[in-house]
This record gives sequence, structure tokens and C-alpha cells, in this order.
Amino acid sequence: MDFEFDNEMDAILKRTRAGDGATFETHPDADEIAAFTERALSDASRQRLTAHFADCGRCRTILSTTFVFEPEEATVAAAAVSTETAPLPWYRKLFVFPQLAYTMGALALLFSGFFGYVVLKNVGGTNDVAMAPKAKSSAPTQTADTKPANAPASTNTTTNAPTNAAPAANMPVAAATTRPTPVEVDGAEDVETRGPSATPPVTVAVRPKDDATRDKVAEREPERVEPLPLPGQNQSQQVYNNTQRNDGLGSVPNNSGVQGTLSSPKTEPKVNEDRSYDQKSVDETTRGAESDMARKKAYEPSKSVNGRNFTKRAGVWYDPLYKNQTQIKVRRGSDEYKALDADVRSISEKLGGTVVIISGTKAYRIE
Amino acid sequence: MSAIAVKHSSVIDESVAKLISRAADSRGLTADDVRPRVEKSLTKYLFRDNENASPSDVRTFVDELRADDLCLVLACEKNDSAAWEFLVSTQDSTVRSAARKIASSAEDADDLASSIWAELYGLKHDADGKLKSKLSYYSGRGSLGGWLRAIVAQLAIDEFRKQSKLVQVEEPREFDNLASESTEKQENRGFLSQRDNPEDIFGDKQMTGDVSKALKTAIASLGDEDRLLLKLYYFDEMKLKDLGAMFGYHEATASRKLARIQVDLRKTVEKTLREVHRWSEEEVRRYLTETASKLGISLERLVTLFIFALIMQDFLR
Repeated sequence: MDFEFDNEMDAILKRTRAGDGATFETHPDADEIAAFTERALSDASRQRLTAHFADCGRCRTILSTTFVFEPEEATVAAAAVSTETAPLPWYRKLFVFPQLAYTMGALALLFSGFFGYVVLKNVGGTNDVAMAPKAKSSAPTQTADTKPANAPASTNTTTNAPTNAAPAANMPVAAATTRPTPVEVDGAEDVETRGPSATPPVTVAVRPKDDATRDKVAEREPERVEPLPLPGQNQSQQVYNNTQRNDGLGSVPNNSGVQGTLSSPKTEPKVNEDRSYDQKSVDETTRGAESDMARKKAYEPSKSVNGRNFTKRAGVWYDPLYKNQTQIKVRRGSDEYKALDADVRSISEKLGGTVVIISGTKAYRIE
Repeated sequence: MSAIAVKHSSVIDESVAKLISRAADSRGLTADDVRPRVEKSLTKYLFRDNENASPSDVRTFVDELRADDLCLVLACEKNDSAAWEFLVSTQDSTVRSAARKIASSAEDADDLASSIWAELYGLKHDADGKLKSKLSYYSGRGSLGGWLRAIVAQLAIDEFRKQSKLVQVEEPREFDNLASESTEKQENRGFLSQRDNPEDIFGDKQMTGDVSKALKTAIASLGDEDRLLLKLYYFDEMKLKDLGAMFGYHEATASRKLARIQVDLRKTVEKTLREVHRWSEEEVRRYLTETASKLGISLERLVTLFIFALIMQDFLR
């Protein structure tokens, strides 16, 4: 007598064989599994499903596979939220990525600004000496007697490169760019003939002996030292500033004559051959301070997310619709956060950091 | 409507209205469209575990539902073409990405993704003539993307299991069989000592059987979460970071928990071997320490092998 294989009984018996406690009816569906991975269940539901997953290989495999499918950023966010450490103090938050990048960038900018200020101050410091009245000039121009800055012999008197006994007009000061008012020092020729000096260079101009040339030099000297260019500054301005720093300006002790070493870079500054930029540069520098604020304002970062153009102020991303409404603070990963709309959470995840988002009539500050 | 839902009817009405207003795009849905699904979710998650849920619990539960995702799904079920377009455009990448991770080839991944969309759209009609779609199972409790990933995983795993049963598979191997096979490997120097004496061989097999039983007892005595953690780590090869994220604690905490579980297992195994199987202290020490070291593995790997054997039994069932 042949018996047909009873598939249904076979399936039921196999499931109950190992006594895994999980019957066909109690397998969680995809909705429960997804909610479990996202920790969106009550404690009671979670405990019930934990017990099932612990004994049911199939469901546990689906659970682990679902978790593996999650986008990496969601896993990282969940891991970050699940940390047991206490909230970071404000000074530590500066070094948390991505704030770290902003912090380091700000520090680099600050330092280079400070350094440039110190350098330029030293250059401009000698302007206070007697030559100052003659330094009140219009825009510096390049005269026929002066060589352009890209002529090494005339513009850079390096410590290792003795120059010929050129006329004073060909001194480093005779660069094609403006420079601070030189100190009134005689003995300009000594600069050319003497060797390197151990004294640290002070970037000042060496006053040529010849009055006519001196006047021409004075004409080229600007009234003040310019700060470092901000990002976005035009090239001529940047070149102007570069040549300011790269001039072979000599180090000068008191009035006993030049002692030699001229601080100059090893590379020639690249000066625009078009000399008309000089006038333009001077004009622009006088407006520099006034436009600083405008430039900084224009430089505020902005980002378009989900069709909205967020701007960043003081490290916080603001919704364009934000009009100083009362902010409702929400922490990422909290129950309140999970209750927010998907669009809001998506924006928050994409921007990162602290975000103020308008949803409906409410302003949410997500941290 | 269940009795509990009737009891909280006014609160549910109020919460549903709030949910619709909370959605960035309610897609023209009314309270009548949304309420049945919300009640279903409440019954499935809240009232099932807590029959005495308060109105405040009901409000909190509904407030935590994903309003946008739920409205999108409900609109799709109403055959809103704009909603379907939005669903496909925003979630197709999620489905395909998940399918690619589990499928063996790009073709299989495309087939899997197409199957998912077909199931979501609905292949059959119910008694009312409506398409029976998997979308009806989405409660709004978790995110729509997470639910779709779970659907992909579920379909893929079930398909794999079905195909596995069609192939002639070996009988599930017990721990002692695994250990026996390992004697063939030179580097293991034999889990069982290679002796010709049948009594000695029988004795070794008996010892292995005792250990496997002790391990089984020890694992069964663990708490549900500990047992799940152990199996997810050893069999599903989940990383500590992912385990921590799933359970809501730090990666270092997951590591400490696993270490504690191993210690607990060891204690239980030793106790079971001494008290149930009447091993002496010397035999316990020799077996777990010296014999395991001969294999070049630690108790951790013994546990892994044993769990693997147990899991294979579950998986191939």
C-alpha cells in the first residue's frame, strides 16, 4: 500500500522538531522586522521578537540581511546615537567631524591672517620714519628706470646672489609694484655689494640716494600695507599682495647703512605685464576694508537640499523659511525625531550637524 | 474594529486628524482613508502587548507613525498614479541596491527587484476585486525604506530556502561529526586522537557528545537577547558596530556583552559536565583547555562550530 507524501504535515513536523518555540503563525512579517532594526518598537514588542529571533534561524537571517541592506550613513548615525557616552562639551564638539574640518579651516585662516598682518606690519612699520611725507603719493607706477619685478637682477637681491653695482634705481625697491614707504637710509649701494648678513631681515625698502629716483619710488609707494587677500579676491589684487611680500626688500639696521641681507623669496613673483593694474590695485585696496564685510557675507555657505536652499550661520543650517520662530529642539535618534516627517529627517541626515527646519508652522532645531 | 479600538475611538479620530496634518503631503487622503490602517497598526503593535493602553499611549503611538510614508502608501493603494510615480522614483534605488547586495548577479538582482515591485503593485485580486498588494502590510511604524529592505531580504531568503530544499542536501551534521571530520586535517592534529583502539575511539566520541549536550544546555539557558546576540555575531557574522546600532548601545558594550556570554557559557558547560555527565575536574580542564588547544582553537570556536551545526539544522529545515 503506497502512501502519498503529506507535504503539509511534513512542514509542520519539521518546524516543531527542534522545539524552537516559533510556530508558523508567529513569524514576524517584514514590517515588524523593519521596525525592529530601526528600534521603533515598544519594549514589550521588542522582547517578544527578540525571543523569536533568538530561536528562529530563518527570521534571524532576514533580520541580519535587512540590517546589512541599510545605507551606511543610517548605520553610522544609529551607532553614533547609540553611544553611551555623555553629551560632549562645546569645546569638544568643535573637534567632532564634520565640525573639525570647519574648525581647522578657520584656524588656518586665522593663523595665516595673523601671520600676514605681522609681516605686513613690519613692512609698513618703517613707513613712520622721515620718508613718510614723501610717501603720500598716488598710485605707484613703473618707471623706465626701474626694472620689472620679474627681472631677477633688479628685484631680488638674495643672500646668495650678489648683484652688480646697479644704479639705485635698479634696487629691489624698483619693482613693478607698490611697496611700503622705505626707510630713509643711505648707502643703498652697500646692499648690492655686501654679502649676506646674519641679521634677520626687516622688510623695508632701501632708499636710493638719487633724489629723482627717490621721488619716483615714493610715488609708487602706497599709503598703507594691504592685508592678505580673501578668497574670491581678484587676481590682480592677489598678485599685488604677493609682490608686496616677495619684494627683495632689504634688512636695515638703524641709520648706519645697509647691512646686507635682503629677504627675498627664491622664486620670482609673477607680475602681470599689464602695468595698468597698479592703479587699479591701489584703488581696490583703499576699498578693501569696506568690502571685507560684503565678501564675508557673500561667502556664507549654502546648500540646496530637497529643493530648499539652506544657509549656514554660526555653524547652524537654517531653512530659508525660518523667521525667528520658536525652535523646538529635537535630538537625532530620539522618539521625537522618529516622529518627524521623512522629508525633515532626510534633510537633517543630508546636512548633518545642527539644522533648523520648518515643517508646517513649526521650526525644529535638530541636533 | 476591535473592542479596544472602539474604546479609544475618539482618541484615534483625533490622532488620525493630527497625523494627516503632520504629513508634508497628505495626497488628498481623508480620515476615512487613513483610520483603518492606523487601527490595524494599533492592534498589531500596541494593543497586542498592552490591552490596557491608555489614551495617552494611543496618541503617542500614532504620533510616532511615519505620516509621509503612510500617506504615500495609502495613496498608492488607492491607485493614485502620482503617488506611484513618486514611490518608484524615490524607492527604486533602495530596492535595487538591496537586491544587488544579495543577488549573485546583476540579472538576478533585476529579477528580484522586478518581483518586489510586482508584489507591491499586487498580482491577485481579493474578494472585493481590489488588487492584493504587499503595501497593505506597511503599518507606518518603521520607515518605508526599511520596510522595503526587509521585503527584499524576506523574498530572497525564502526563495533561497525553497531552492535549497530542491537540492539533495546532506543530513545536518552534529557537532561530533564535525569534530570527526576535522581529524582528517593535518593542522588540527585530530580532534579525536588517532588511535586504533575502538574503545578509545568510542570514549572520545562519548566525550564529544557530552560537550555538545552541555553546550546546547548552556546556550538554551541564556537570556533571549544574549542568545540572539550570540547567534547574530557568530552565524550571521554581524559586526559589533551593527549589533550595537541594532540593540541601541555602543560597539564596546556589544563586545563586553559577548565576552560575558562566553564566560557564562564556559561556566555552564563546566558545571554541566561535572554534575550531569560526572566528569572530574581534571577531565574538564583537560578537555576544554588542552584538547581545544590541540585543535588550535579556543572555546569560542568550539561554540561557533556547535552553533553552526544547530543553525544548519534550522536553516535546512
